[in-house]
This record gives sequence, C-alpha cells and structure tokens, in this order.
Amino acid sequence: MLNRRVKRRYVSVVYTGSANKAVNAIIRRCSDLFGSIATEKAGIRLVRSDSNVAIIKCRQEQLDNVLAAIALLDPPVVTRDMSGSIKQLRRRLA
Amino acid sequence: MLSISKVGTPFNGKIHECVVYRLKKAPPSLVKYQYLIVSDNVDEPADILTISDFRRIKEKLKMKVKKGTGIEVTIALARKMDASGVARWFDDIRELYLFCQSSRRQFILSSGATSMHEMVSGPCLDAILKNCDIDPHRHWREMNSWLEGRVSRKVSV
Repeated sequence: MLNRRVKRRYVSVVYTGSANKAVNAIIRRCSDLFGSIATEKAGIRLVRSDSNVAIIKCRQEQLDNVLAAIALLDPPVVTRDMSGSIKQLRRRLA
Repeated sequence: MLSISKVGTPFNGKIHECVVYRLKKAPPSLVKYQYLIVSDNVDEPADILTISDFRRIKEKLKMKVKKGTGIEVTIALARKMDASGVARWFDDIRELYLFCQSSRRQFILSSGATSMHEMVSGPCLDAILKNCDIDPHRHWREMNSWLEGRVSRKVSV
C-alpha cells in the first residue's frame, strides 16, 4: 500500500487579541459547523504568530471547511494569504 | 492582498480605482466614479437589494424586484449566528442562488464589512460558495459580467 504524505496548507490570518485564542476560536467554530470528526481531520494548528499576524496549518482536504469557519468567526479573523509551504508564505508576507 | 480585484464601499469623498461606490441614491450630477445604488427595501428601485431573511421575502422578491437586479447576502449577519442558524443561512443561499439563476437576477455574496478587520478574502468567499454547492468560477464570471454591464450603464465623466 502506498504511504502518501499528507498535503497541508499554511494560512496567514490577521487577528485581534491573543493568537492561541484566535486559533481556538477557529477550531471551535469549525467543530460547531462541520462536526468534531471533520475538525480533527483538519488538524488545525498554530505554527507561529507575530504581532497580530499568525500562521496556521491545516490539511488540504479540509481547507474549504477551515476557510468557511474563519470567514464566519466572531470576532472576525481575516485571511491574508495561503500557501503549500511555510517558506513561500513567509516570503510573501515579508 | 485578499485576492479581490474590485471592492464595493460607501462613498467617502475620495476616488480610488477598482472601487465601486455604494450609494443610497443616485448623485444629482455627473460623477467621476463608478457607483451602484444599494437598498435594503424591496419596494425601492435599486441596483443591489440587500436582504437578511430570504425565506420571509421570497414571494415579494418574485413580484417586486426587477430582472437584472443584484440580490445581496452579507456574511456579517452569519457571523453572529449559532451553528444551526448558519446551516439555515447556507440553505437560504443555495435556494437564493437557484432563484436568481431561474429569474435572471444576480446573486451577490458580500462580506458586509464595516471595517478592514471584517473583510473576507477571495478564498474564504469561494469556500462558502462551495459549501452551498455553488461553483465559484461560474459565480465570479457571472458576477463580473453583471457588474461591468451594470456600472457601464451609469453615466460617468
């Protein structure tokens, strides 16, 4: 059986308050809207945060659900950019 | 930055390119900017009608809204809703889109942002459209041609 590498997407978001709170809010909203199984599959994690911009990662197959959850979040979190590699994303953010 | 080429904002006196201004009524004289008349009243003639509850005004929309009018739903409303409210909102969007397709009106999904922090990026709008079983490519293509047609009808200097 082929052991395929899981594809991820790195998403940079602009938030207010603390980065951990923002990521927890995204996870909670995603879980509310699409269920616990889909949210676990998404594997939403905070990669790094800098002032009010954070980079989160999630699995590509659940990206649409994660983006929809971000768009429907209150207080709002704005998606700035996304990429398949963190290096490319950081280059674009610089 | 947000993968959006054109935005609609209220007119604040400054003219920017790639911005279509949202006005409540037509300016009395010729203007140098692109604009659309926006209303939330079904009985008023407008380019864009903003609605909050499609189920409640569906019959009125059929009777009173002219063909070619844009019918706008804002994400800002859905932010405040709980999960079941959002699920119903998704269902309303799906139904509104089909209604617009069959009755030659333009479905518009907008952020409803009042500040930069409430803006919604292009990929997030696409994700919401996909969740409502709407093909984003088709939607943006239709939206673009509707917008160009609508704005070009307005006389500007």
